[in-house]
Amino acid sequence: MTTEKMTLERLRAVIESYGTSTARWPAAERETAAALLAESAAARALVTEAAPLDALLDAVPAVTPTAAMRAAILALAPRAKPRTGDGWRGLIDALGGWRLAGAVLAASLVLGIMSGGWLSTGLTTESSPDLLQLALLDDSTTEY
Amino acid sequence: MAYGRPAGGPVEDPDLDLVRRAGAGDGPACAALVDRHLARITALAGRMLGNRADAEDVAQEVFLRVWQQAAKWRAGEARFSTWLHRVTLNLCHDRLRRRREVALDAAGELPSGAPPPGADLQRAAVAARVQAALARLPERQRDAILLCHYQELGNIEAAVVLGVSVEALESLLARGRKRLRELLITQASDLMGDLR
Repeated sequence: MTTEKMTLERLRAVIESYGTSTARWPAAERETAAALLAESAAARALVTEAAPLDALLDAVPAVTPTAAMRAAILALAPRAKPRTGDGWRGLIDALGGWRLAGAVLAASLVLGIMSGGWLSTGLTTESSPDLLQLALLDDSTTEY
Repeated sequence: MAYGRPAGGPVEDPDLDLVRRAGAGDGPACAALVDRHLARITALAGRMLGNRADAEDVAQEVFLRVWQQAAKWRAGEARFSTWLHRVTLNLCHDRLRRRREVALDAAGELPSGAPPPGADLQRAAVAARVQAALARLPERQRDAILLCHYQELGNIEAAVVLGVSVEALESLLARGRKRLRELLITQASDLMGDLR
C-alpha cells in the first residue's frame, strides 16, 4: 500500500474511472484518498460532481436467478462415479442389510437344492433313451 | 485457460477447494459453487443482454462449462471467478454479435418520451434509458464498467478478465463514464427527478 500523499489530480482520475464509492477505488489508494477527502473541500466537490452518474448506474436492477434455474443447473452437475463393490453393497442394503440378506441367500440356496431334487426325480433313463445311448457310445466299438 | 495473471506468483483462489470437489462429483460442493456465483453471473449477463431470458440461458451455459472444466481445473493459472467472468463476457458477446447480424440497428436509440406514471414505472424507465446508454458504449468500455461498477471486481482482477493493464482499464473506465455522461447528461436532471 502506498503511503504517498494523493494529489487532487490523481483523485480526479480515480473518480473519473471508478466513480464515487470508495469501495470501488484501488485498494492501494483508498487510505490516501480518504485522507485527501477529509482535508480538501475541492476533493469533496469532485465527489459531489460525479455522484449523479453513479446514482443513474445504480438504477439498473440486477436480474436475479430463480429456484428453477438453480435446479436446472444442478441437475447437470457432475456425479461421482460409483466405486467397485458399490453394486453389491447397494443390493445388500436393498435386501435389508447383512443379516437379512444372509437369510435370503440361505433360503435361495435351500430352495435351489430342493427344486434340483424334484426335477431329477422326474428324469429317468427311460424318459431319455437317446441321451443314455449317446452317453454310452464308445468310439472304439462303434460300427459304421 | 490462459487468462493471464497479475505478476507475483501463483494466484490464491478462494474457490479452489469447491472447484476440485465439484469436479469429483461432490453434490454439496456443486451446490455451494452455484450459490456463491450464480447471482453475480446472472446479473452480469442481464446487464449485458438486457433481458431475463437471455441472461438465464447464458448463466446456464456458463455453469455447463464449469461442470465440464471442474475436473480439469489447474490451480494457479487464474482465479476461478476471473475465468467465470471471462466466460460470461464471451458468451454475452457471442449473443450480442448474433443479434447485430439479425438486426443491424440493435443498438437502437435511447428510449424517449415521458415516463409512465408511478414510482416503480418511473424507476424502470430510468433503468431502461441507462441500460440503452450502456448498450451504446464500445464493447470494451462497457465491459470495464460492468466489471468494476456492477460486479465490483477489484481493478487488478478486472484488468485480468479483460486482458489489459490496470492503466488501460482505467482509461477504458474513464472514457466509458465520460460517454455515459454525454449520453445521459441532457436528461440528467429529469432522470434524477424520476429516481426520487
